[in-house]
Amino acid sequence: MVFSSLNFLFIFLPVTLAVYLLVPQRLKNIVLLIASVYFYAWGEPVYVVLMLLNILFNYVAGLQFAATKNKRRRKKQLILAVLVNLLLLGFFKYAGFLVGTLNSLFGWSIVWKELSLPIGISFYTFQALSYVIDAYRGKVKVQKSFINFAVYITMFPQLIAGPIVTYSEIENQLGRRTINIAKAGAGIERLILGLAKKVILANNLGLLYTSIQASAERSVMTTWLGAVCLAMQIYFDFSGYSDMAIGMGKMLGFDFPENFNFPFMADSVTEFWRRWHMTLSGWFKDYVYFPLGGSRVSALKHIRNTLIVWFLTGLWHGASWNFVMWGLYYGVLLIIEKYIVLRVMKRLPSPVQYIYTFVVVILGFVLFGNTDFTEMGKYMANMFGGGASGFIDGAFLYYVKNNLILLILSAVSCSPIFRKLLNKISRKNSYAAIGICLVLFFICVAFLVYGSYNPFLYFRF
Amino acid sequence: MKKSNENRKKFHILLTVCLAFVVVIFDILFFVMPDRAVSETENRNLQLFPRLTWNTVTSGRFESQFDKYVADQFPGRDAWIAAETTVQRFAGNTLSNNIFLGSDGYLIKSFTDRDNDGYTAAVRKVTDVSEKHKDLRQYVLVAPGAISILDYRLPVNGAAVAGDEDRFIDNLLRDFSMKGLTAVDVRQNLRDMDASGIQVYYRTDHHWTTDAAYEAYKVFAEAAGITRSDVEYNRIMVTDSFQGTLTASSGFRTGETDSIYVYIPEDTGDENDQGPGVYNVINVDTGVKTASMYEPAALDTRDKYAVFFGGNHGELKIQTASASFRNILVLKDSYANCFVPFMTADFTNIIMVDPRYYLGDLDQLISDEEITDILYLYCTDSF
Repeated sequence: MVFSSLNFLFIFLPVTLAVYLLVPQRLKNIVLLIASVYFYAWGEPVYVVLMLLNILFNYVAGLQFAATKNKRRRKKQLILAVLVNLLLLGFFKYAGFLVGTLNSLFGWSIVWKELSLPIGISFYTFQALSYVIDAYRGKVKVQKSFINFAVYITMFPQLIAGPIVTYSEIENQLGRRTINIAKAGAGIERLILGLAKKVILANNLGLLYTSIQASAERSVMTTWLGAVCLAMQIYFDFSGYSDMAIGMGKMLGFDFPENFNFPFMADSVTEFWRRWHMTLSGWFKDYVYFPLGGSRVSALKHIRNTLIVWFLTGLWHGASWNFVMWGLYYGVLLIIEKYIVLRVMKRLPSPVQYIYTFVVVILGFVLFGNTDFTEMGKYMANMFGGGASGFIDGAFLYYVKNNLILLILSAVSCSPIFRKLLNKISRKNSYAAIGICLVLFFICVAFLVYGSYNPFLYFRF
Repeated sequence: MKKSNENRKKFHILLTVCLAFVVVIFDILFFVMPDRAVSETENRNLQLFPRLTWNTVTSGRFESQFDKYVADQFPGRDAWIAAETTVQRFAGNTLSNNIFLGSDGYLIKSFTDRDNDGYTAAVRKVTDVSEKHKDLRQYVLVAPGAISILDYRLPVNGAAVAGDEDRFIDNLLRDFSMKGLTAVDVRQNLRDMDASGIQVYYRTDHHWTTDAAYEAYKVFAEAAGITRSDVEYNRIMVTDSFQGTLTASSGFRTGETDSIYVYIPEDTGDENDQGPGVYNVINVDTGVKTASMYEPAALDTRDKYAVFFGGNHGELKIQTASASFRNILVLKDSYANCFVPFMTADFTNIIMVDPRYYLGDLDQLISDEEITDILYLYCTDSF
């Protein structure tokens, strides 16, 4: 089920919340678990079994740590648990990709029937790993209750698209959490803002990018417009989904970590990645980068560590070489920034820093958005004049004029202005703020009724 | 500061109450209101409650259909859709579902350029038949879309984001000429007609008007070596409340309607009249025989353009009183439906075949019916 569907918003969510709020405290987690499994099974009626087995395995792995004192045995248990998680992820997500790559490298012709990717497997595997590793490290207590552990993995707001909530962040909330109407209202505010980002901005930016990408001839300006639309589409799509997740978490009484902090306001790539998909970067930091020694090692080792992390980050986003390229692109940029550019850049005027970051990030999204390398090459070439039909053309003017309001709204929404404004209004006049939220909600409903165009981009990951 | 925090808390509490209220109201309406099977405005069947079986659930079919069901049966669906298009228009959007909002209320369907394979397929649509019947007189009439004839009505720079239909037609006509067919180019005539203030296309539909079809017929007749006897027609408006498919699929201008005219040959008053108004129409698929090319019942439905022949059929045979002894096969799409009525004075037998619905053997048909002429009449989308 996707959040941005009428079925979810008008049937699943209200029914779940009503039951969840009505039942006594001790039954809340069971209700949440049943609802979440139902939610998952709606999109993956078969793979829900895989997820449940995965949960059972990691639950038992945790219990084993509690029962084992011997250090070497504990280590073996950890390695086994991590391997099983990674193998499952690898099998379902990367097997086809690996076979395809081997075939083209060595001219083999291994036949592989591509499996469909179980929704959210990248997200829940990482959450399960955070538990297993932290339980091993003794950073968190082993979860004795299967229900509570299953709730942690399956919780429907963050199950299929994040944020990636590490177990340690939510350990205490699994047992006891504050549920009240004001917190629920804050959650609804967040949900509506996220929904609007997804339905009003991301979907329409996506349409615009698709029509630009599909056109045979493009001018330089048109391709840049398309790339900016793509970047903003991915941002609003993903961060909108995270907003909705955080909002629904609040309604259920949880406090999830933030996932985005206005990344397009960054003035360096390093800064961009402190603001983009923060829970994923955090996960890689905790479970890959720091264990490798992080930055407290020689420069050479640090570079190695950075490249490993970014290779994996790219690969995590999808089983395709363009994602790996995208990850390494950032790895290299971050290394260059750390050792060379940042020192110089700090002395440059801030508009230059923003423009540099903007251009580099936009180019990154062109890598991200094209799994077909021929298409990507053509598009990139167009951006710098190669094969483009001039610098500017009628199509660019038409697209800008036709989508002017969308583009302005999107650009402003990349900054915290709207969120701050709503906060300010709500502190002055609560009724005006309610009016704004309801109108926004109604517009979203109108767009949802109208559009069958509602694909959720992050299902691929 | 305290007051401001209180306001924010009040906002959150009341927002919860309001939204819960809104959702509950819509849920009650959703369950109480009867499901609609068809959407008139969208011209399609709506999703009803899907079949619930083990198979449909495990395959995910039930789930996806249920999602659709909720959207299709959502209370006030049409009003929500109208609201969306209002928002889009307010935002200045002049392109929706590949349909431009042109000037003077014209909705103009965009054109998508063909790649090489697509172009070859378009040519073959005609040559697959024409190459086998080189002994017959063959004509190709590519009905242009409003995007070619009324291009000046497109939004500023709109043409830049659409394909080049004019060039597509140029290429087709050139290639068909080279293959020995008579290419009938009606574009200049239609442009002149538009310049003189006569409506060439419907505002709400992609079809050409009957006036335009008549103009096109005159061009065709000349190309086919027909000296038109002076047929007098009465031009009669049969409806002024036609709302075509462009309105439904774009959501633009939902208040506008068009008028449909038909041309009926002048009744000579002679009891033994053997003029162009006398003919039989046989629907070969159903065997139904009528003495009219018009289906007035269609005027009471949404698809009023179906007043011409009651819509598209696999094969229709029209027997006229013409003494020309020319039998013409018209391979066609719906653009021909308002064009063919002008043929009754000039052809003895007219066989209309719509390849999309025709299952028979064309070569057999051509020899059985002693066809002397073939006309290929399609709009560019049908190529």
